[in-house]
Amino acid sequence: MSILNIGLSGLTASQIALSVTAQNTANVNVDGYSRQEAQLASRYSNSFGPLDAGMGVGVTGLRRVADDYLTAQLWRVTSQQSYHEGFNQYIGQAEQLVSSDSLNISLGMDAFFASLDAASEQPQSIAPRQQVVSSAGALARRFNQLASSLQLQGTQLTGQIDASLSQINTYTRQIADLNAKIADLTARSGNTSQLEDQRDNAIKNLSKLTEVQVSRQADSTVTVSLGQGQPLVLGSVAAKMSRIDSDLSVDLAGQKFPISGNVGGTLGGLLDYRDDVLKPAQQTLDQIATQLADDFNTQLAAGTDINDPRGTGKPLFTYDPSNPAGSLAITAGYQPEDLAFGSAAAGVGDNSNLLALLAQKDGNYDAYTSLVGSLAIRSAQAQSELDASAQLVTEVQAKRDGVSGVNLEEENANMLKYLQSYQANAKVISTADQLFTTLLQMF
Amino acid sequence: MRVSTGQLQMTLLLGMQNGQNQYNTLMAQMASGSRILKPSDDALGSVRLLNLTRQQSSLSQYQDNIQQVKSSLSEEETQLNSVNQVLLRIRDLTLEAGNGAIGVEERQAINNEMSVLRDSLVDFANTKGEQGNYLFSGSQVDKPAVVKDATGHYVYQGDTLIREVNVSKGVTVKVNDTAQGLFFSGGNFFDQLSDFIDILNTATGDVNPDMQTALDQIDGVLASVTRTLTDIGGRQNMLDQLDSAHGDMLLYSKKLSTDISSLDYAKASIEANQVLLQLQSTQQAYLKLNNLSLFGQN
Repeated sequence: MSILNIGLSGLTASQIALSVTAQNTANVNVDGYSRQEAQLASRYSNSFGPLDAGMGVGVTGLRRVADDYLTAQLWRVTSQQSYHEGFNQYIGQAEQLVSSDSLNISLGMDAFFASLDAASEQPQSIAPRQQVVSSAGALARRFNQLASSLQLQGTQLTGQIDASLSQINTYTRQIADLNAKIADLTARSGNTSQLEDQRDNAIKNLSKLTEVQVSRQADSTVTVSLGQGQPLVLGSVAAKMSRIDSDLSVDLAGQKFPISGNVGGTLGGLLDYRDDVLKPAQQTLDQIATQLADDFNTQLAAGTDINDPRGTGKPLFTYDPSNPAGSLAITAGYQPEDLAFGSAAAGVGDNSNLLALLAQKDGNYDAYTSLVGSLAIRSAQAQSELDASAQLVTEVQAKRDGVSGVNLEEENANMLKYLQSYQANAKVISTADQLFTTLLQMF
Repeated sequence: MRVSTGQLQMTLLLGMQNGQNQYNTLMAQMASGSRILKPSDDALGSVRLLNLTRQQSSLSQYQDNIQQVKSSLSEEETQLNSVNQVLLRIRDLTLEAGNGAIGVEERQAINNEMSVLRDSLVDFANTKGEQGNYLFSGSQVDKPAVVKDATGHYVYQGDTLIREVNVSKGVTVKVNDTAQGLFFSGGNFFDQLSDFIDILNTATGDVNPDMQTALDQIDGVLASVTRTLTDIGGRQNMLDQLDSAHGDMLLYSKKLSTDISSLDYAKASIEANQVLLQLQSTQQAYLKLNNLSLFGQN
């Protein structure tokens, strides 16, 4: 009878191994699927007699082929890539904005100063004065449009930050739920492979949004925390990440943990772009607008216009100090005659104050040129970091897939192997049957 | 190393994507003719381009200014040449009037012509530019330079201001000269001339000493007109030199801009061909891979 049993055990084991191959083959295109292996072991009889061949073969378990170290590495590099993606997405746009022909402040200043220069030969003539007023208006509009484009980026950023936070909370909830299921199934010795894949995927998605540290606990659950240590998932409990203005915090079971510094992932990239690039750029633009307007108005006030009667120069620019670049404009009702190009002592043909205005040309460009330069350098750096981190993700993903991914050729070979062993074991059973029949025929 | 099926596909897909990206960038560069599509493509180059654009804008503006100043100066030059002719005629007439041999009638004829010439000098001093501005009034361009006041005396209404215009970085040029400098620096020439005309009209005796005084006065004004004409010539020479220097500089600056931004088409098209070749071979590898499976064989 033992031949029959041994054959049966081989048949069953081959069947299980075939179904594992089938499962692997079926999941070849599933992202994050870890292939499984049937682990076979010989079964020996308890008698251990000298002529006891053994009791066949058994499937001791299905192994989920995964390397925790590689998986963790994949999460980390994914975080880095997402950080750079988040950062790049906006800085790429910002550098295009500041250098575009229609928004470039430098080009607007070129036109404005050229119009002033053109007025110096006939300072009393209205047409060149009109040109100065209208090119000043055009320059102010460039400031307004650039400021509002950057403002719009700020709004989009806040929207995306909030969306990231709510996604983070969804994923931590998922991970906590999966933790509970896995702990339960592990206690009942079930196959947690599929649930673990799901959990790994959730963690991978989470690490796209923010950098996380993951540690596996004895009960097969994982503890997830931010890079700086604030807890996100403890067993079956998920934390909630939230924002008040620009302050982020994590709330776990009623306890609040403030977040500061680089949190990594898309969220980190967005926050860093907002704080390190966008806000300083907006401030620089505001400073340029303020300085230009103040310097000009001050110098104009030192001169005399060509109105009848002639008066002290009126300010050409106005702005709201709370939003200088966004609100820079020409003083309402400003007339070409209001421009104070001369001095009070001389006639309308005097251009001494105009020459003083022109002398301000040099001081007003540098801040903008260096803004464009620093954005360009920062963006180029961010792009190369993004390329490097994407390359790293590809490499680590390849390593992880090299271990856990499905190879169809391999599965095909396994299929043939287990098909053959199935057929061979069936033959063993039929041989056992023949033995029995032969014995029976003796009587 | 073990390679999963998904990984093989992914590698080829990434290769194709990269190839397409590169090709796309090259096409955008070739379409725009510029190697810098965004500042970060060459941060330093972009900043230099901004500075060069600004320099080019300044240089063009200086050249415009120079043209404007030159046309003003030649207008002034034409006027002063005429003034010179008139003064020479007045000088001739003065000499003739001093001649003791001429009679009262002839002297009156001289006298009439001199009055007309004096008035035309006043007209010259009150020349208007194309914008309706008085050329010789200093900064008081809305007032005629020389008028007769209630007492019949000629007065200068302008000021001594000379307008300067930027024609190069840190270089300005004087655009105007005043009737003050031309006709009033050695006393009031118009009143002096009128006084001499009055003397010619009324004097019966020897006018020789008066003639000498008048000649000195005329020569003084002639000298200042000539000096101004020479000065204008000097200014125009300087402007011509600056203009051509600006032209050279502009050319150089534009060449630099082009050098920084322009695309090497030959290099770009060779690169584009290479990328295309790589793209095609990746595509073929992808097609072959898809036919290659043990599952197809058994």
